[in-house]
Amino acid sequence: MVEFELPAAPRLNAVNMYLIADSAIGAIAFETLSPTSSDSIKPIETGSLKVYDRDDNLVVYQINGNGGKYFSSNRVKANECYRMEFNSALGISTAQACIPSQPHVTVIDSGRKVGSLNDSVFFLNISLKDSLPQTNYYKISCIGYGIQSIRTNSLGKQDTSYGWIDLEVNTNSLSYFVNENNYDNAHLLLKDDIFNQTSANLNFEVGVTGIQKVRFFIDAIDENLFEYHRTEAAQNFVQTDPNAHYITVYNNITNGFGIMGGLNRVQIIWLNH
Amino acid sequence: MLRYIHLLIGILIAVPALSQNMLDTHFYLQKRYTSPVELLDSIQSKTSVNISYPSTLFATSSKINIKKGKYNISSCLDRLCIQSKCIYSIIENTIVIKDNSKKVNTKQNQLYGKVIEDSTGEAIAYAYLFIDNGRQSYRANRFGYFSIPKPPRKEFTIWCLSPNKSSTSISVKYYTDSFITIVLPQLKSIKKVTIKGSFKRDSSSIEDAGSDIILTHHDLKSTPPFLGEYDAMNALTYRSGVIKGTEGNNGLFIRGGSPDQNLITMDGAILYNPNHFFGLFSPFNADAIQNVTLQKSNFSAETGGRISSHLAIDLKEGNTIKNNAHFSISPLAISASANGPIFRNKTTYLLTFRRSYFDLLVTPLLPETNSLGFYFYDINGKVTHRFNDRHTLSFGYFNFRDKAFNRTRFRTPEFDGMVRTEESEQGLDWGNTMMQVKYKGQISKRKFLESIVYYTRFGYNNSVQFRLLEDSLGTKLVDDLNRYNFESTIETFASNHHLTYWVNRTLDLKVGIGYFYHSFLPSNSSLTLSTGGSGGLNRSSFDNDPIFANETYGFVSLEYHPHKRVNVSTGFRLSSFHTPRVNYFNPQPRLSLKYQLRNQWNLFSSATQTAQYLHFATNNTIGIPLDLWLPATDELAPATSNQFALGISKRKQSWQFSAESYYKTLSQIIDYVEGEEYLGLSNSWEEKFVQGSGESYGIDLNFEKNWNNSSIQGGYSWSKNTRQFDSINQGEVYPFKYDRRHNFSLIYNRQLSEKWVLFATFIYGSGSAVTLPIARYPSAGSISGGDILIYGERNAHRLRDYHRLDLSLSHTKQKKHFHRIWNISIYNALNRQNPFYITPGLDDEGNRNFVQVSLLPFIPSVTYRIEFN
Repeated sequence: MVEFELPAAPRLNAVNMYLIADSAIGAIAFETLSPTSSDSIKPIETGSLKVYDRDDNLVVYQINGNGGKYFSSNRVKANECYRMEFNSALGISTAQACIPSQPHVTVIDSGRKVGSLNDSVFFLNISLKDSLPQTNYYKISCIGYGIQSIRTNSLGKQDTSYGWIDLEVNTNSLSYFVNENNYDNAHLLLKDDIFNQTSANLNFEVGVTGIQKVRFFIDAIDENLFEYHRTEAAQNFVQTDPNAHYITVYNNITNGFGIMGGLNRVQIIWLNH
Repeated sequence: MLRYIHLLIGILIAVPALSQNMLDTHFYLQKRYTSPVELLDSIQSKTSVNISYPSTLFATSSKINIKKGKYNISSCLDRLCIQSKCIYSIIENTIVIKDNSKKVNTKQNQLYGKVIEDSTGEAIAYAYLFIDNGRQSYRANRFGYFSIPKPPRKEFTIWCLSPNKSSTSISVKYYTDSFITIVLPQLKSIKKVTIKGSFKRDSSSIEDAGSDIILTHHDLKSTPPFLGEYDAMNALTYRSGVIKGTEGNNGLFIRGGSPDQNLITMDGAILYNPNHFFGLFSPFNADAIQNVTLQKSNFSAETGGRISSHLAIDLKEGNTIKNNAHFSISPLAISASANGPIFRNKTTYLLTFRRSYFDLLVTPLLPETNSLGFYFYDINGKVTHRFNDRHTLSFGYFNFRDKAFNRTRFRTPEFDGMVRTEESEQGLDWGNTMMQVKYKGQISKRKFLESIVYYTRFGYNNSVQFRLLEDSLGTKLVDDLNRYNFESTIETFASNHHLTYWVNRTLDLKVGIGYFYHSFLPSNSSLTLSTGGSGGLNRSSFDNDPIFANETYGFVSLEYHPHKRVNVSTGFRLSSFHTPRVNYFNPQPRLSLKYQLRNQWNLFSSATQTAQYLHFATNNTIGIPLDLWLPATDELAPATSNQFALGISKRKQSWQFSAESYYKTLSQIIDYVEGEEYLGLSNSWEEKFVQGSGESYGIDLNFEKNWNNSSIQGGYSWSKNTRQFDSINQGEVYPFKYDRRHNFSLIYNRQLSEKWVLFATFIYGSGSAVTLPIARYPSAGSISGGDILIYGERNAHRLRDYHRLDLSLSHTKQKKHFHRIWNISIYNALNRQNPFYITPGLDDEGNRNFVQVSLLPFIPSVTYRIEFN
């Protein structure tokens, strides 16, 4: 039933760009599309990306899109801030973000709890030391083939409802964690409200079957990414709730949409052998 | 000790017009009578009327002198009571004569009393009293009490009319100080009763002016029921200035305000969020309701605590004469009620109970592996003791609860090769409990006191739990439970005391004080997780400490009638709110002016300021209410409102019309920070809200026309409502979600015959404002996953217009011991697909589009009801 005449959708750049410490710079750009259009969202093939450091030195100059993806081998550093300009026929979009320090993670205990080699519960107990006085943000995610369930009992008094709920709900899907590209959709978001400049103990249990390895990512993220993931999860959450307040996903791209965020990662790998 | 002075020669006749024929019965006295007893015996034998009086009444009485001749009962009893110092009234077709011989105070000349219904003894609220052929007018208060400080010294007539225009009149003759009980007949049908006498009701009173909506029990039963249930909140939405939210939701949006800005009281006690069945209708059982009064503007200083309206539900006290019982069954619920005297004319009771039965019928039929259910109930209990005509004490209890659950049992292969049986259960319940003790009474000829002490609690609970039941070997697994529980409560203890002082003929004074002790628990979460396998449990709490607050108020209100065409009401209310972190004080002046033109059109205007210390957060789901009451804090200031209204009205016997324009501002109202959804697991709820302002203006029109056997009533509203928050919609003003430009309603009633009654209603409203996504782009976290939606300006789009036609036909038949009523109703007779919500989705051709979802189509229902009277 067509009931509504919507104005033409704004055609703007949508740029998603993660700055991962000591990693290459990458971004992906699309053209926004009407919510009622049956067309696929088009990547922006013809465009250029410039990245500047804190002192306005040009770090990356004019990388061009390839299937909408813009990559450069230039690496970005922790505790640095960067500014980007994305130029396309739709206009110039800008954003800036800083990369946080690497999180201080200590593995207290880990191993296989019950079951055989083929069906196991992997447990991980880590300590996350929060040393910086400002508000720090974290995202914890886990990927691996054959994951059946993930749970944690170390939430503490945190504003982590969306992240935690996603983590629980999504683990009911056997296939959800198979695709490594999807790991960002199941994550635990932490804000150091109650462990600022102290430590938090986090316990995880991962039910796996026929798996070779489980990878945990403990990411220190900037506020941009924290707000982006939090509001994105919230928007998804209310999609099934027709009368709920709509949720605007956090966006720090000027004259466009998307996210530019900084991230510093620690990876823990558990091999089932 | 109060002294009540009754003059012996006072005589009161309080007779309903339906009983007037009995008093008009003529007879002939064939001799002179000197004995009252002999006279009454003679009247009874000549007219066959029942006359009741205490045997001691005429024992010491001096002789009377009633000459022979032609009389009617009224004139004969007048003479008897003048000479024998008695009063008489008619109750249940019996003339009851009482002693009226008290001390005389010739200096004071005061008339005061109460208006009640003949067959039930229930008080009639807001009855009009006209004396001196309409040159003076008075109005009984909400409890039926009135005072006429300086009536004429000579014999005169009081015309008394219930606010229900279909009611009747009563004549009262009066000579001196007395407390009188005026008995009005119960309204049996919508058929009008002709008023006899020279006085015409067209002598409109200045008391008529205003925009208050008063619905009697009869009015409630004169609107088509929804799924067989008569509902007070639904009935109010047929009046101008009152609109519903989404389809099927009975939250009232009054002049741009939201539902939490409506003060809802039951017998004076506050109720929080009274909603049944996911918001489809209210928990107020129509069988228990005596009156519903809604104030949209012109708030007296007595009213406060919310910034949009005051909805007062007054319950019946119970029949003082005989027991009544009702039973009904509708597609939705079974309802039963009873009321009557515990001690005749002294102590009465009221009991109502209603419960849905969907779960009892359907749930047992569902497989054990997948069951769901929903039920609600509401209970009203009230005991009222009348110490005498003037003093009553009542104890009230009200409880409603809704509960929904979904239980699923499934088998899961586990890592160790076992197949375990698990059970998940989701539960949701909410409800309000209220207990009260209330005194009301005319403590002197000029003073009326209302005192109430009560406790009220609203609770909301949402839980999800998973439990392992047994493994494939049949071993029971215990203590293996994952459970998430969320609860939110508000509790209030209150003590309120209001005194009315009828100073003189031109001045009424009201003063009052009140105290509330609130305990808020906005969000309290707990998470219980098993440590795996059949190990122990860990429990994590996300408890917030309760917030305690003290709220007080005091008010002074003056109502001045310098002339029969002029009424000036002014008042001042001072309220305060105290938490450990902050103290707020809010002075709230009130002013109201009424003036009657020579052609009997009434002009009225008001200026009011109101304050509200409680905020309300909801995710506005399909009535699965995450409804949280939050206190004003140092970070969230109290909401305030100013309203200015100007109106005109006229009431004739067969028609009435009113129009009122208004302008209202709202300040420090709350909304979620953009990007926030609801409280969830959080201990920093204050940060999730922002405060802003709102503006509302418009005009409400109401008209009503009565014929012999039918009536038509309509309302139209034009309004514009906006909101402004610095951090929402980039600080730009945007339409309120329920900014509906045009609203129109029509109610038609027709008494087809003695047994058949037809009701038809039509309601129309412009579409609500809605925020729609205007574009999309891929998520950063999910290359192949869902898109992120970009929303445009807030509430920039409109849903389709809303309209609905409802029909109802009732057939009443008098059986040997009871009335039997069949009601056939059709909700949404035109099967209009009204918008419940719209969402991006796939249309019929499989293309991406916005799809409208409708909730309530054409719904016929049949209700069976029996009434033992």
